[in-house]
Amino acid sequence: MVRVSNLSMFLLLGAVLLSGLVGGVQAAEDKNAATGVIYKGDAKCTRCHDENDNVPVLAIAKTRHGVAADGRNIGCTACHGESRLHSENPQGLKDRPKVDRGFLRSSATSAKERNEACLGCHQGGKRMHWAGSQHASGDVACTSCHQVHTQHDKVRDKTVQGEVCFTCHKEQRAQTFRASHHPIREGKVGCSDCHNPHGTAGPKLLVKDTVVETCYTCHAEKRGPFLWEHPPASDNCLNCHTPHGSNHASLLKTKPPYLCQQCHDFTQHPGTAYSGRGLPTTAGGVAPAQQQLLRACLNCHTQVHGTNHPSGARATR
Amino acid sequence: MTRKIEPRFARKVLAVSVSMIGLAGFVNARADDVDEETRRLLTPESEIEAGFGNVSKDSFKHGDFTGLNQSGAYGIANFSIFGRDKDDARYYEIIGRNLGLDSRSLKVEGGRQGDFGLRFEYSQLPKLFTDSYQTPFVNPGATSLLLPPGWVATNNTTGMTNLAGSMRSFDVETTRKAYSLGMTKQLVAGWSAVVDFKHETKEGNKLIGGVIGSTGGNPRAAILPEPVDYTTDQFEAIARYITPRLQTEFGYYGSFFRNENSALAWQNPYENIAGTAWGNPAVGYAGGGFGQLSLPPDNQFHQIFASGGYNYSKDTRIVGKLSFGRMTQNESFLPYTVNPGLTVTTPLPRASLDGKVDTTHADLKLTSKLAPKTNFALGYRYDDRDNKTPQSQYLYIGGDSMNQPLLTNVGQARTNLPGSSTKHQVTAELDHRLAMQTKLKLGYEFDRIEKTFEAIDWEREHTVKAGVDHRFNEMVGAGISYAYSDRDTSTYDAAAPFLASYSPLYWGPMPLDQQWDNVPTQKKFFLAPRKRDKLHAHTHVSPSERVDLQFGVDYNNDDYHDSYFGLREAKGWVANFDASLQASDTVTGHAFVSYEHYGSDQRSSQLGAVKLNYLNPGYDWTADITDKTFTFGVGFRVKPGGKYEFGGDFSHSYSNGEIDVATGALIATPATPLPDVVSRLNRVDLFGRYWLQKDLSINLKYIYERYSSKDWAYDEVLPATMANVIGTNQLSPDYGVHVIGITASYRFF
Repeated sequence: MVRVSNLSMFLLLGAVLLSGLVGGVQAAEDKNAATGVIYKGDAKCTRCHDENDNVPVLAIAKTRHGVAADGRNIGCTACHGESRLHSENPQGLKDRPKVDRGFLRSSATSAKERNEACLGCHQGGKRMHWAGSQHASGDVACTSCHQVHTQHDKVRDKTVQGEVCFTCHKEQRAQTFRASHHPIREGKVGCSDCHNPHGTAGPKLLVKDTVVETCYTCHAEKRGPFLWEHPPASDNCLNCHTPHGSNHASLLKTKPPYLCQQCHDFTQHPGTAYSGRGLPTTAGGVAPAQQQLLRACLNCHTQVHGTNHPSGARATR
Repeated sequence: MTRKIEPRFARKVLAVSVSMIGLAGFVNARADDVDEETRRLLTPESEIEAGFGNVSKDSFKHGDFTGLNQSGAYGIANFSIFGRDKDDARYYEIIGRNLGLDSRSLKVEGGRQGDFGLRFEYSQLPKLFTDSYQTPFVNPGATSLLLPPGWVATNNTTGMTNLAGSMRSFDVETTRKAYSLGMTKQLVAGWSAVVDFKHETKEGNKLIGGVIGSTGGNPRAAILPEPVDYTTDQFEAIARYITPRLQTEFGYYGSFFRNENSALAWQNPYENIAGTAWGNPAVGYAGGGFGQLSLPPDNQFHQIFASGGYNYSKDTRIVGKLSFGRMTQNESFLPYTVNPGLTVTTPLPRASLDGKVDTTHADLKLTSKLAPKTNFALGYRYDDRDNKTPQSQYLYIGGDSMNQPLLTNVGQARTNLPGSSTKHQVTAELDHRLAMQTKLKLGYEFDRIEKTFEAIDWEREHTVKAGVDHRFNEMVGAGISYAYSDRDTSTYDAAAPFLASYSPLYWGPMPLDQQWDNVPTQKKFFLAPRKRDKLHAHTHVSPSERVDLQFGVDYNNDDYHDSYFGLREAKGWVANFDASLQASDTVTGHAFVSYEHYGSDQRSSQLGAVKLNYLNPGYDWTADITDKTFTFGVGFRVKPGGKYEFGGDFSHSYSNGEIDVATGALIATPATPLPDVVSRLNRVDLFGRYWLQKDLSINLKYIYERYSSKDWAYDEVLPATMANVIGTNQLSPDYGVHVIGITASYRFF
């Protein structure tokens, strides 16, 4: 269980990769402080919004967005607007006017307006297909999932990403507790390994253009092309599998032989009604059925994803 | 992990302190404290954690994906180290997790923001299938499985007198190891480049059924360990050009799969006894017979693609993608049979498949704001799978058990069917804000799919959708949506793939009404006409800023209204309830409940040996299948902000699968009840943290997981339970495991 020796190799590699970067890295907030805590001229914001304020903001300095040396980061107003009424409160109202563009849940700023602030810089790449995507049309804001003013943006961490997605996708959360599931709860597969929540050209926000292309990124052995294909498998894995969790082995939608019998009925055993009669006699059965127990149909017809064996026409080779 | 600044450093003190920075010589102890607090607030926090844990009991199922499968001590090591240079935007991140377990991972990343980035990742994933599997083969894991000396072979398991004594345990597991390299580089004038490479190996074993024999009631099988030695390399290179108005990218993706094992052979544990219909003594154990399976062949996928998005105006955007791909596979064929004693008269038509599938994808979407309160989206998607694999006739040998037949009227003459498909999808969506708090959504979708070598030539589906979301006030919101789909198809011809694959010499002499291999009135569900209803309703209530409640329900119904046999209906509903509570500034809690009910109805005909029996309802039988799953979770966190914090979670999941089979009057062996398939999970997670010093803490973690399951497919199945399949002695997982860990953490900035 404990094998850490090869880690030294990776650490060494990491050190080599980063040796040119680390030397210059040190806290340099004092230089920036001459003109602002984080950005030039941000004092009008940070004079109030420190860590004791109801809306603390300083932790953004721990993130990419808080690096003023990156010329693309131009300060609070880039996202929140100039917000003069808010910062100056010329009427001296007890409850200051809101910022021009707010991102809190209680803000009156629409999701579209909020997202415009993000898309102004992040419209290309993986966000290219955002417009018209399921999340965009569902009025999901970038900040519904992302936390900008914190070092650890959970949704970008595969080990806890599901916690964010499951706040809306509750059915999928429950499915991850089932006997057969992808290692989502275990933190080894993230939702974003299969889905791009920012919109894609494929169905179901999948990262590739089709279901099968997405599944093949981890299960390339099932890609073929095979001599003997099983058409529903090469067409769409979801014909037989449910990817977020199942009560049946191998993420199957239904237990074999019944899943197979939804399509196959022929003379002899494919059309047989398997029931309690086919159980072991010790379990009340009459005639233990080789097409029902263990892997059921797959005890013999095991090549359900296709096979390259010239004698494999019946998926047994 | 972040801590609030000490109360004495009120906001104005901090602001003043910031203004004072730079005034050299005006430094006192208090200012030093403030500087330190300021630095902590503005500098990424790093942490190193090390310690050890203990697992109370061996359990494969518990350790699946995590590596916590063996009892005893294990090392705990995690770290996350960050650095950001605010002067020139250089950064690095080094994150290691679970380094003492087989699920370890490491990520090293660095670069300069807005310029370049480099990334290396390593991740390991154990997949633990079962540790209760047993096999009589003496060399599990090998590609040629052998039986023990003195093996007593008969033509069924009951006569294998030393079968039970020969069973030996073998852990069935695989491990993935993935190495990834990534690079990003900003180029000139809006151009940038992204390159990713991933090398992944998967090694170990999984289970596969191995059968010898093919027809006439002679198949004899065993569940075998299939050696897994896969390597998949994936490479992607993308060039991007981005301006505020136009975004484009051009790229290449390649995926290369290699399998070190092309075949799995196994010694025949059965004997060839007169009457079993194996055509040659060389097949049975005494004759040195083997069986041989093909393992997944090496294959490749290459794809080029281009994407683009263009902001025509502030309110109108068009985006699309075009890709062309090719899958290839050309591994040398195995022989028709592994048994040299069997007669092969007709050679393979080709040495390898030369498999080739071209894929084309096109996607175009236009979104626009038609009016201040109205948005519109129009989309078109095209997917084409053009299977260019050559067709040939193969005169196969069934299950390594018979001499190759002559090409006369046999069913063993089969032609491969490289299926192709073309899919078109048109979508239109409109949303309109009736009032500030109310949004109405309408949608329409049209799908048309054309297929070859299938029972249908085409299918088409119309879907209409409608939904409304309303925010009643700041505390309460709700929504409901409904979608209805109607799919129809060309005339369902169950015989089409049969006639295309089998030789006319075989099916030609058959009566016209028996030229099929699947019952003509059984429609495969993915090809069958279908009416679909999908309903979703949800509400959320936030009676205060500290309490949030959500409730949702989904209902789905697939009605295969034109299918007499096969899947006829699949219907389910799920209800979810979530609550989160912030009891105080230091105490939070959450809870969720989910219940899902999924049911399906299917019908088949127990034809026996008489094809036309399918026309007699007396041979009909049905299976009503119901899966019910209840999931519950509750947790709390206490962070007083002092020297300690703690929290915990409890999770419960219970699933129950019922299968109710009912047989028609003419079926001589009426169905009897099946027990339910059950799994039950209870898990407690507790953690506590105590700060020994400002940045040094000691942490305690405790997990108790109790899992039990029942599955009639495995329970009580012994090696000789089935006459023609050697059982595996596998047990349904049942365990209770305690895991405790103690670590020390040090954080720094």
